[in-house]
Amino acid sequence: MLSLEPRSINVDGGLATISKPAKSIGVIWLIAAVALASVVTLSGLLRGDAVATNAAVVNILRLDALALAPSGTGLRSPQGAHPAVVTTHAPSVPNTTSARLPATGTDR
Amino acid sequence: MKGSTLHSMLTWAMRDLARRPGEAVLTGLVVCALVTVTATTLLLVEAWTTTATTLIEEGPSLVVRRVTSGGWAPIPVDEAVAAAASVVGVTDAQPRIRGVVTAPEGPITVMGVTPSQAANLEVAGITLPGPGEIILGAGVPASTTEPLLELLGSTHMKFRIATLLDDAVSLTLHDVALLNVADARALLGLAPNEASDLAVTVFHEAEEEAILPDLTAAFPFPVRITTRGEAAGAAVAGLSRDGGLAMLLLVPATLAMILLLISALRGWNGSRREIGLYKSFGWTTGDLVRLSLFKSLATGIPGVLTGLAAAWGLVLWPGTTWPGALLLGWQTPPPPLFLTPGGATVVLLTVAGLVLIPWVLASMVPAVKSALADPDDLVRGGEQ
Repeated sequence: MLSLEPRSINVDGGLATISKPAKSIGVIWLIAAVALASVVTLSGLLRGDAVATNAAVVNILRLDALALAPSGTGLRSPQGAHPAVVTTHAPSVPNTTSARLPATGTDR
Repeated sequence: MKGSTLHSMLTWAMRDLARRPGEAVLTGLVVCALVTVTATTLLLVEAWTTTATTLIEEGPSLVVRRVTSGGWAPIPVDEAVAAAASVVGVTDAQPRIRGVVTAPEGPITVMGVTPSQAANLEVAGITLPGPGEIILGAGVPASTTEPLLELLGSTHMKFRIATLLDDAVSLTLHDVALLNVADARALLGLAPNEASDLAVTVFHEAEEEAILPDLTAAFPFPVRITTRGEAAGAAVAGLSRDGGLAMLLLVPATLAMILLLISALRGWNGSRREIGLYKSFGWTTGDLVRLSLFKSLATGIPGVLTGLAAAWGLVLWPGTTWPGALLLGWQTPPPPLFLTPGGATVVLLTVAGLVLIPWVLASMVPAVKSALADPDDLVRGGEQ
């Protein structure tokens, strides 16, 4: 049972007896370090190479849009019927390049 | 300091901590909680940015879209490909058949897949949809009992749900429906020789901006061109908006950190008598500073390591859903995010330093403040 009250120091055996808590805390350090290393390693192993797979999909389908989130972080147009052409100024101006980013937003 | 003395000091510090095990454990838990909250937020932002950038870099350099006075217009494939190919620096130009249509549960993106694309996509478990078939991304809501999905584009069409895409490709095809090219054209109202837009690849990244005037002039109709840099900028801008809200989580964490530091600083009042005793026995200020250092590290380091492990698991463990929903408003299982070793290391070290360094320094203040104090005053509790 843990207590917030301080205990008395037992100095009878000198430093030989007080090495035990040092070992205990060393074990705690070790456990914490192993926990971090395990989580990092296992999460990487279990996730596999999903990003490489998705990168291949992007490359093959020539995607310029991400479907990461319905909250609008993707790049697809919320305009409706057709892909992201966002008319930010008179489109009749011939041969204009995009001066503004395509609007982001949900498409659902 | 000799090694044996250092070892003695270390063991003494550990024993001193063991006198108040409850306090030591609670302090470690507070540090752990602080690190978990802070690192979760920062890791999520870093992972999203890295993942989005990695994927966008795999996409086309430029996307060319034809515009008219009415807005979007289909692009004639042969004419557009020839125009793009005539520009020096362009290495590839591929028409894309894609658009947004209305599904029963809301708008979705449809994309036409060519046989050559499908052959290359077999590694991702994607096959060529047959005529009348549709392949749905994991985020597309569809009835589990109804085998047909009705979509409204330029016309009503019904498709048989052939299969659902694996979660592994949800990063890019989360709410996308894949169709046979002919079906996609019919649904989007495109003629057989028309495409939605043109994906252009240039030889070198630096040419993306430089080639724009020539590429624009090469087309016999008005076009709007989006560069990869703009696409990446839009992705990061979206994250900045949502991530800024997520950063609000850091406010209570900062408050908790301040309270922890105040607690450590106020420890001076409680430890004054002990410090006086140590100094009476001949301990120097340096010894006391080292003692405080060892004690604070003994509780702080396990707390930091455990907190970082928890944050990493919350953000990057497969199947973890709640951080994305809470921080970025994701309503569906988040895609597997990606971190570069360098970026992850910077985030982990930053968080560890932000919490551990102030905590260690605050813990050493009582020992430093005792440098000029009279041990007798300290033991008697008098003014220093």
